[in-house]
Amino acid sequence: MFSLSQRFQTVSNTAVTVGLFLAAFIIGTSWFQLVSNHAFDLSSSISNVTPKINVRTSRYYGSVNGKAKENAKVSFDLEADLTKLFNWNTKQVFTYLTAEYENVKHTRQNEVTFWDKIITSKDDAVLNLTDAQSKYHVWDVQEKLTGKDLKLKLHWNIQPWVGPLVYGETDGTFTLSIPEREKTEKKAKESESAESSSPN
Amino acid sequence: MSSPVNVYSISEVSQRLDEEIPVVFGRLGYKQSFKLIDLKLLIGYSIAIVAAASFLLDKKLGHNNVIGYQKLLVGCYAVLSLIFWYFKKFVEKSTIYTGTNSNDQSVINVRTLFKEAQPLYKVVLLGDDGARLEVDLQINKVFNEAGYLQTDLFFNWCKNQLTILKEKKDN
Amino acid sequence: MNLRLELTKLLNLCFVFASAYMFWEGLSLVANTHSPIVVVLSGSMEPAFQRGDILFLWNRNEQSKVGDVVVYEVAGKNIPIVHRVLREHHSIADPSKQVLLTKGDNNAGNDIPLYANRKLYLNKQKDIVGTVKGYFPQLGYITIWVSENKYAKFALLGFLALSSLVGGE
Repeated sequence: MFSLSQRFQTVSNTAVTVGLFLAAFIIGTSWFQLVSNHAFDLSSSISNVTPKINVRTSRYYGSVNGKAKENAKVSFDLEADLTKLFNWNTKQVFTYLTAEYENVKHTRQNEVTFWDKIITSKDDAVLNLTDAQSKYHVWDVQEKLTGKDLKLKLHWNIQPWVGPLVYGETDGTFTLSIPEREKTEKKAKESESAESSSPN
Repeated sequence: MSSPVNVYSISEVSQRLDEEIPVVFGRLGYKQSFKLIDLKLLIGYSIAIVAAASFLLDKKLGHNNVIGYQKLLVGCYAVLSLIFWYFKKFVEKSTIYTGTNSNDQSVINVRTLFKEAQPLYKVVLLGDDGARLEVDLQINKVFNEAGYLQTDLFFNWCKNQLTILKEKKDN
Repeated sequence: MNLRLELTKLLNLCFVFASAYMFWEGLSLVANTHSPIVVVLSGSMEPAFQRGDILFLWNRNEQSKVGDVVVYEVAGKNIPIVHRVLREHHSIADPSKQVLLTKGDNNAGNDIPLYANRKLYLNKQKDIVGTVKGYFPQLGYITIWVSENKYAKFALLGFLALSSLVGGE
């Protein structure tokens, strides 16, 4: 004698309530696991960072109106163990190597990403890289990158199956000073790259 | 007469009985007062108008241009909802009928309740002099198997309860 | 019929829509964004976010950080894009002046080709709809299904009509 709509309503109400409780339970336990595993103070070591500077004139490398733009890539060694970030609510860990720096006049604060990686399994969570190449060409928003002190750090972000995105950073740092390039060398390189790269 | 109800759903049954009560008390010589219902409709529809205004404002002008107005409207909505809740909980108190007897000018107040999964229609009758009668009506006494309300049975039951209330008053 | 009875029934129906809409409006005022909940439409953040997943946004932060997953809208196109902040540059004197470069985790390159008017950066204040704070899988697939499949629309309307007929008594 129950009508279709009443049945539908009862079933969906129950489903929503159970779903919410289940989600809250999962979020709570995974958070507890992270805290008890000391996931928020993981150690890492960044070393052997060497910069490589290129000059580009394409818009997709930060050049405005075809003006030459310094692009930096780095090679680096990296050691970190991110296995503690994996629990039953971890879908994937996104880990990224960033550099913080100020511009010469100390009016602007910047943070850029050199390298990142998606880790979907606990088995791949131990990072042990030697002489790895950065994924991205990095340029500054207005100035050049040379002559600045870049503070490198490894961050992580847990993307869950359900619930909040969790962020944190590891304790290893490395300060990279990119030396100012020689004037003559710079000029030579500029003309060289202007020839090789197609006009934008 | 009217269509049958699902007798296994106590909410549908009570709704049907609530609709019948004004008819019954009309037959018993009472004149219904609509003050409470009208007030409830007034508050209720002002809530609906606030929500509609907020919706139209958002659609026509875009969210970012009307944030000030929206804050005002959401505030109004919250306050009105609170008033509505207060009204239902402390003023109306599930009153479904208020009426005055045309003979002796006595006022009757009828409140009804039901509990999920209990085949009982709980009725509270309140007289104007503080007399109070709480009775449970077993719904299978006034509904037949097919789900039709037996209006005469219900009328007689209500009439009896009213007599009991009057006797209480006299004692 | 009894006018007051009909009005009461109509009022209950109005309350269903009013409470749902005002909840949304209240949420968008609290989160300071015009869409506090979005449904993922593209696969550019896979495997983290798939089509149909629901994201909860917050836009009261003055700045975005590198690594934040943000939702932005490009002027002229009405499709919200969910991507990650790759770089940020902000003024120390005025922290609200910030520009961002974004990239989808699953894309090879950054988002410069997507930006409007040949811009190289997004403006935090103007372009960002919100930062992703919470995630719920797959629940939004109903809305994608309804908006992209015309038969689904009729099916849903039919079901609503049927249930109101059946449950109306």
